[in-house]
Amino acid sequence: MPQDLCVNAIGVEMRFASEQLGVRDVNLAVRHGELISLVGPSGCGKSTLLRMIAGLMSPTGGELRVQAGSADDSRTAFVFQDSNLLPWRSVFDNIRLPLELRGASFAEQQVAVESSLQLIGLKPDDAAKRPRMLSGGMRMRVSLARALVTHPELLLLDEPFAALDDLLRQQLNEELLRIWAEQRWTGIFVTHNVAEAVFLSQRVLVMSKSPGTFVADIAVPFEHPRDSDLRSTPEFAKLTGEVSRSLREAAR
Amino acid sequence: MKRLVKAALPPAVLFVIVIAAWHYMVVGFGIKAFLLPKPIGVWNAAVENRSELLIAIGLTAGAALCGFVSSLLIGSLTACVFSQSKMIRSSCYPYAIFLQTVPIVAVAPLIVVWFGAEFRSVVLVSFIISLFPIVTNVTTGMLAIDPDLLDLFRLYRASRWQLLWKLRLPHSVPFLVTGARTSSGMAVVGAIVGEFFAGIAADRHGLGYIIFAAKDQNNAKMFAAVIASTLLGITIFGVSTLIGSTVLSRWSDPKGGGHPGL
Repeated sequence: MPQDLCVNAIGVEMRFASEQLGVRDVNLAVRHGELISLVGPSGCGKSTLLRMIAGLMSPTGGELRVQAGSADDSRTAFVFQDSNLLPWRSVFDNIRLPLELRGASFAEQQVAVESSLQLIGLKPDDAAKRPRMLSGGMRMRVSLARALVTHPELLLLDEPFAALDDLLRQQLNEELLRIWAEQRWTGIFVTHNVAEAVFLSQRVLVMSKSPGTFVADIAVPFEHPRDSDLRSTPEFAKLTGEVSRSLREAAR
Repeated sequence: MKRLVKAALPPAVLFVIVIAAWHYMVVGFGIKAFLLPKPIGVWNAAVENRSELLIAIGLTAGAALCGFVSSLLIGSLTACVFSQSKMIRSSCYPYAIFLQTVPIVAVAPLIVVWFGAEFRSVVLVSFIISLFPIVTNVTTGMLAIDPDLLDLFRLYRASRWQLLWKLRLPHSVPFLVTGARTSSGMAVVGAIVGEFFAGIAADRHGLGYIIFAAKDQNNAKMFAAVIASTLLGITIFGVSTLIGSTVLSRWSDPKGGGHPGL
């Protein structure tokens, strides 16, 4: 596998126990530090592919290599569609969970959680709150903070902002982009929102309907840092139009 | 305070009506006291035998509490073991169901034969009858976990022990509370059934024995014991429900808990 690649999939296939194909013939090369988006019709296998990259599922065919950390110190983090927080734990205790499972000392956890809270824009007195006291947007911030607390090299995001209203989604997109610009992890962002995909990523990959395979790879040439004004430019509208068209074709 | 009055007033009114109806029915139909004593007769019997009844309440409550608490501990431990492997579950579950379906009244004499007509036999009967709801509820709580949460723990390579201690066990707490609510009432039933058979030899005996022994000669005393055991059941149920809801409000998320009992 070439040195500059973080994820390299060649002819990856996923066949479920029911003999049904989840994804077929997936070829994907993601460079270190790249932020890409996957879009596709619902049920096309985007999430399945993301789970395989995370190591939560093994492909039934093809070759899938991921280079993030080492074998015993995985540097992959995953942000789920639901904030997926433990309701009996405070915000602080939720964020430190990955470090705790890894056996880090409490002092180490504390320092990491504090910087993670700050990074994601949470106030120190939010740390003691329970998830149920937070709004949906805040819960998603906590979920992001938990993913970032380990300083991942590869961040996998499975439609994390799908349940939020549009304004909140745009705000979190901007924050995510700011954090990415600061830390430059490799990011794979699954979404069904075309504007979000174009705004965030350097490339948008379009998947066909199930069993999914990539049918288009569209480069997003806008300079970083990007801000909210980008969304109202004609170039942005043109590119989202192009991705939408490709998505419509893929769904046929 | 106002809410308490509001909650207590309707049942209090009903209580007065029932007592009055009971009294006038006995007087009106001329029912013999050995069939159904008047309420005042039951009250008098209760006052007359108050020290014996109080000791009995204490003994029965003690046995029920011991049975209940051991079912909480052993039931949760059993559920921990069950949660670890499908093979253990499928091989042990039929016997757990057997434990539930075998009539406790039929087994209680056997327990007395094996362990003697003593307090420990009463506790054991109470324990057996209250164990099952704990085992089933906590096992369900340990297994009914959102797959995404399991994936989160897998992603960070949590050990089997971490998974149990940091995810399955805390996740099952609301289920334990539901099970405990059922079990607490059953524990009292179990203690009284146990005393039917085990209370004979002792010089100090529980409510079950009083009910059993007084049914032929002192009907009013038996009624007093029945009412005392009902009050005991309600008290234990009420206290465990109160403790349960306090625990829940600190523990779980009412919106995201995904537990139907809340």
